[in-house]
Amino acid sequence: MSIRGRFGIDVQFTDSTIVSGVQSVKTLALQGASEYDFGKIALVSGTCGTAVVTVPVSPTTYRDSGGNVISFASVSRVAFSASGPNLVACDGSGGCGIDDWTIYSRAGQVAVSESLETVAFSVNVYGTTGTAAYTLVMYGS
Amino acid sequence: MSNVRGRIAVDVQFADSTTSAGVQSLKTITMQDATEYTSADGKVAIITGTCGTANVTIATSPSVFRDSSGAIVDFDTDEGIIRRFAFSATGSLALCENQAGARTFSTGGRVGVNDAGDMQAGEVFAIRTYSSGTASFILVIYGT
Repeated sequence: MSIRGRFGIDVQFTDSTIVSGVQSVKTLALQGASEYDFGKIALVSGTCGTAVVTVPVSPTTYRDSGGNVISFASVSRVAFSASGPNLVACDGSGGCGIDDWTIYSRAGQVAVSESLETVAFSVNVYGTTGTAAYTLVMYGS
Repeated sequence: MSNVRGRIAVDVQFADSTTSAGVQSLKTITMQDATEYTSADGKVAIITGTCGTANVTIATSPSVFRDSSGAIVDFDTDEGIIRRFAFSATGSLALCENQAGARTFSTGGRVGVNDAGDMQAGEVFAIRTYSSGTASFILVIYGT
């Protein structure tokens, strides 16, 4: 099995002001593109309400291109997206005590974080109100 | 008054392939989002600094950042006013969290992006390295 992929993030803002015919412009940018050519990747999707949905990581419910179930010993980066107007949280817990990541999404806006999860960890998804469909991409080994 | 326009784009793409008995099986995984921000009352700030294991507090009302008119950017109104943030750190693994429970890690300059949750006016971000060492960080905050 061969894995190749990337996480690309591109944040760009232009802030301009015109006073007495003079325009002042500030451009803010934060970009990063990380390439990966080994490891494991899984995509898990589902629906959630306010109750915690635990996303299995070892094994996951996802099969790789060879038809084998993906099972993570560690997860090093995650991307999470939830539909609908309500805030949905995705967190990793158990691997690193109180310092786990919590990323939020709504309206399909993707959140990304590094992950430290290496030992006996779990990944949880839960909403603040209502229900939402979610998609979680986990990269690790 | 300044006019803020911008975008936050995330593009995750992976190809997973297996070749067996001359047959290649390919799975592609993608997650993409490009959100444009054109609100007339949008605000954006970028804060850079260094941190160790002790929290560096990043105030939002007011921030330390000046907009294109020279005015201090102040995320000073009601709940939800800070929409999203992006965080990048080099050096030791670093954590950026806010008082609404959003927690994003970064290292190696790999950018994290997060919804700010239901952050309240006057609340702060806190940045620190996870377990040891120091890191340089960049935090971009977008709100209205």
